Amino acid sequence: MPDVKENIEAGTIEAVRGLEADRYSEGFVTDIEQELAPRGLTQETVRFISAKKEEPEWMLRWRLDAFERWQEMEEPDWALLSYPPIDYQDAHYYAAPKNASKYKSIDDVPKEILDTYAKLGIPLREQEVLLGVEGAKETAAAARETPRVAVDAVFDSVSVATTFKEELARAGVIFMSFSEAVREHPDLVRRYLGTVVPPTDNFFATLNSAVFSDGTFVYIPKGVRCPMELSTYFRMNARGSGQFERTLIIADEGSYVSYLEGCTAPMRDENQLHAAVVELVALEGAEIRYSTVQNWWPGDSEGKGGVYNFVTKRGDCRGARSRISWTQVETGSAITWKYPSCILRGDDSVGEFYSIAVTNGRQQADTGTKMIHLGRNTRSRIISKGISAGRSNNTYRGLVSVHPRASGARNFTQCDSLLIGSSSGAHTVPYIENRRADAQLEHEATTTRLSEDQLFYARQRGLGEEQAVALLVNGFVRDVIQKLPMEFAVEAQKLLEVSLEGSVG
Amino acid sequence: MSSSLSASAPLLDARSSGLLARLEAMDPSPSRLRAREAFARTGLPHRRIEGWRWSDVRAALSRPPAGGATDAPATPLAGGSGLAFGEGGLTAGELAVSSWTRGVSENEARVPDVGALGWLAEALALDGADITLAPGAQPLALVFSGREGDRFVHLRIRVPQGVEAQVAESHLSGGGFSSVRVDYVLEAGASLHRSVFLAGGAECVQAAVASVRLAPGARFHQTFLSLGAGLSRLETALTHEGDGSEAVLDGAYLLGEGRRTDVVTRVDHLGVGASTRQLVRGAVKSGGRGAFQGRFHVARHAQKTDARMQHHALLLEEGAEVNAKPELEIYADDVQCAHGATTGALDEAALFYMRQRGLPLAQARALLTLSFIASALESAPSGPREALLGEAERWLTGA
Amino acid sequence: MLELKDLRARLSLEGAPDRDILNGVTLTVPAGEVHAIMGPNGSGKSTLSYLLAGRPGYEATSGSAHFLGEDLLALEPEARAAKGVFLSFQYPVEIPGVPVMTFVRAAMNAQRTSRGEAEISAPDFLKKSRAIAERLRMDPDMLKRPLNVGFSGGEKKRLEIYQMLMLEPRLMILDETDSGLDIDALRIVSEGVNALRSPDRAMLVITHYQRLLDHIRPDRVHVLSAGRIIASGGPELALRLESEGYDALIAGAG
Ligand SMILES: Nc1ncnc2c1ncn2[C@@H]1O[C@H](COP(=O)(O)OP(=O)(O)OP(=O)(O)O)[C@@H](O)[C@H]1O
Ligand SMILES: [Mg+2]
Repeated sequence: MPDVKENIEAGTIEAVRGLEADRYSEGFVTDIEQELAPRGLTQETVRFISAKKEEPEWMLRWRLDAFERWQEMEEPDWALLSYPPIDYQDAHYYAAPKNASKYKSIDDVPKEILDTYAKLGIPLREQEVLLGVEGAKETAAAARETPRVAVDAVFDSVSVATTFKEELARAGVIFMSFSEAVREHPDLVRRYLGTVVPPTDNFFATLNSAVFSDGTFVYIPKGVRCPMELSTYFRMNARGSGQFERTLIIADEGSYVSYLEGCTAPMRDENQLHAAVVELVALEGAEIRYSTVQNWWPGDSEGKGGVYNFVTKRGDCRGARSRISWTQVETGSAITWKYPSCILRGDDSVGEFYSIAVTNGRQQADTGTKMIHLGRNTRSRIISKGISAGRSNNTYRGLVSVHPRASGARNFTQCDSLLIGSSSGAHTVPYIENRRADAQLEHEATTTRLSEDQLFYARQRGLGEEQAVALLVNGFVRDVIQKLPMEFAVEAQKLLEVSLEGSVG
Repeated sequence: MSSSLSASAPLLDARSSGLLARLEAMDPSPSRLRAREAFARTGLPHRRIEGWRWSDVRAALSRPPAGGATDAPATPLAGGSGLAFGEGGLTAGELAVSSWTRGVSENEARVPDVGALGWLAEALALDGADITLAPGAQPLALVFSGREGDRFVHLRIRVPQGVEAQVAESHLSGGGFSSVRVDYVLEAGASLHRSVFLAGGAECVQAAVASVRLAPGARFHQTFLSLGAGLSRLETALTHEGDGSEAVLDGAYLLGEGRRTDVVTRVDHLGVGASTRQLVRGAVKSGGRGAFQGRFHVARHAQKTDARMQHHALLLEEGAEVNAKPELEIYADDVQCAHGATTGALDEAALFYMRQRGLPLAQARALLTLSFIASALESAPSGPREALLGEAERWLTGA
Repeated sequence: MLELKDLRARLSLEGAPDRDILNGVTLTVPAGEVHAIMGPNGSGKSTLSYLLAGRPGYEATSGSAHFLGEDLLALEPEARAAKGVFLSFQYPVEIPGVPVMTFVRAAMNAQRTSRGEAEISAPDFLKKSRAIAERLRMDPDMLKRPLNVGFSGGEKKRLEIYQMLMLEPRLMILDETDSGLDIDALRIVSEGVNALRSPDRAMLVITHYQRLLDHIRPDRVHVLSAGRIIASGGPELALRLESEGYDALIAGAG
């Protein structure tokens, strides 16, 4: 029964909203007709998804192989996370607005969906982007100065719109939904898909390989500096569904791209599963900057509902002098299991990881990075800022590994944890493996709480308690915020404030 | 999660079942049975078990001996009064002032988790002793040595209220598989310095496992020097059970070709205002592999904990390997916790400076390495300090 | 303007037994006046300033403190700040990652908002900040650095006065602002402080040394000892202390 329209239990939603409404402003539900895969996960589900996407046979095979392997795998349990067993049969693995694959232009996208993105502050009409979100008030000259951002909007399992495609195409940049790319650029997809995160990499990545729905595909040709920021906004809307997107970004020799990913989901009193895979490939001299602002619904303050976020993100610095940097601001999700990593294969390549992870309420986050030094003179840098409030648990878990060929490798790691209130936990679990005498690795970690003296000083000058906390927290995370593209830094700061509301006093 | 492990683990490897079968002939006590059960959860640990990633005991024991067993090395740690355990168990003993009985009496209910090899030692200990250190006792010397077979020893050492004492342990093996477990119990205000020296042949698997329980205001200070073995594991599980206790966990490892060591500590802060200082340093030559796994756990009510962990290692030559996992697990907010870890090579500028002043390269290296290592040994009291520093110098200069 | 009546305070800090620090302080500072408070180390001067500013952990056990007729002790620290209470800290606190200007602007706007005034515009703020920095001979780059982090002792004190001039408070409590300042800085800072003297402001100057009082002439001088004011007088009292020390005075009072 693929087109069951889910009824939203208005009462429940209202109740949840009453608890948390001021904190999570993205928690609304878009009421739109849905097309859903039947509940459950079998070979048939995989075939259903592939058919919906009109995929070629090789893609279906790839999925089925992954599915077969997945059935024999066990869910990992080494992270500092505790949650009831997930029933993988009790979810819809495909959900899409009805007729979604037929949207030929932005004008075909239903108003409800456009409104959803507008409400989230993400304009999908290019002219709106040009004029800035506020609309026509600004002068054209001012508009030209505001940096433009191309957006791929993924609504549940499908990409509903991608902006600035033509303009990007003129620069040779391919920016489209993953499903389209499979059809339009099968050779590129086949060449790179699964080469950074193999289909059987881990339990969640393998699940994704079998059932991934949509996501973004980016290719930047040789020597091209992508003329604007690219971004994808993931929105989970349907009830009882998971989201399994797949993103693949290839930066060819000497190219550059900056990419931002944002995610939100409605407030639901059930747990929604999100298992994404992101693969980045940087060829010789290329640079990819990947920023994430993750604001999935974290559940209410008692830990009911919220997104389970099990994500595999990995970048491969395949060519010499290539560079990949991950910047993440993680404020959402009930459970976060996420380790954006860099394989530093090319000589002189550079990997960076800048992270802010905030947990409040009953959230649990186990997140960090892996820096695998394979090439000569490879360098990596890790700055992680964890903030735990409420009754949450926040773990940094990371690996720095220097292989015997990686002469002259360098790593610097700084992990700072901040505890707000006495009922939360902050943990640091770094693994350091060095097999090169001429490598130099440094790791530092501290755990502290917000200092009473600092709070009093700020209040003596007139700041309210919450404002003082926000200010101190902003100071604590500043090194990382500065790594975000300007326009998202502000958003990230606001998000931090909102996430920590009610954490003191 | 551990309960599911015990439910699904009973399939032990052959070597582990072989070891446990010995118990049947022993008429085991309840604590031995409990220890057996704890061991049987994993059997002989291997690298897929968290915490054993860098010491794969199962693999090391499955390699057939190449006949390279040697006599047990000598120890620099002298002691006037003590016990010596050889292949047949207790071989010599004389304790001047302290009281002791042979064998370990029934364990108290609360036992810190001492890991698989600690449990194995308790379950299968052929010999052991229960020692209570008296005020004014001489430093106690314990020597564990042997060159083949399996050797398991279990000791308990009690330091009564207000007593200050010193213990020196030497773990010396030429070959075979040994695991020695010592349970230290420090009563309120007691103070103990433990020095540990470990050295073993390239074929032996050697474990020195200690649990340490600190009552309020107790002070425990440990200094070790490990020259490694085929696989050597120094494991210390320390619990600050009450308020205001202090622990220092220092030490160094020096590893050459074919030598491995895994220094593992777990410190639990349960009381208010306790402090832990840890400084571990290592230097590794080609073919050696060092590992450090430190973990501080601070319970919710353990406010005002002050805990600092440092691990610094030098890779002296290509072909050396150093791994580290300095871990913090913190549930209390009013605490000061930090760790730092570095690995790298000797400072080229300093080497050049010394050579410019006429020191030969080898000597310059030895000198710099010694000064790097020394700070992790220097906090030991006079006696063990000179002994361990002297041994480190001998190792570095090949004298 | 400021009226303290038989103020007693007990310090209750976690992990330490409670201690009485102030044992009945009575003091009136009329509008427009500057009062100096002197006294041996540990006599309770900073405690008094913290109590007036509302530092958590410092509680009045009895007595009262009124500012412009309002009960100060009932207010949260930020509400006191908005009323115009400014404390120049003896030991200014370092706040990593928060640039000076960001901090002061946030503070200024928070105060204005709570008084129902409009926020200051960015250009006006910058203009004012530049002028004050210049007056205090401060390197403008200092204002972009994180608050107090890595500042020298003297720089921190200068920064306190910068904030005071920016915020234009009505009750200024200077806790050993002179310590750490070099001779020129002492003069520059004092000029800044004097510029704020006005008929509708009052000032409490805590110091150990006459040289500050040479620059900031007090109307009255009080001596605090063991949590009590044991002597009050005109500026000549400070001069007498400088030459005779506290002992004679304390013995006389005892
Ligand atoms: N946080 C604290 N913990 C313990 N004792 C304190 C604390 N704060 C103040 N005291 C004690 O209270 C007493 C008064 O201290 P206070 O700082 O008010 O003195 P003061 O007059 O400002 O001294 P100084 O001239 O040295 O600045 C001192 O004995 C001091 O040790
Ligand atoms: Mg003072």
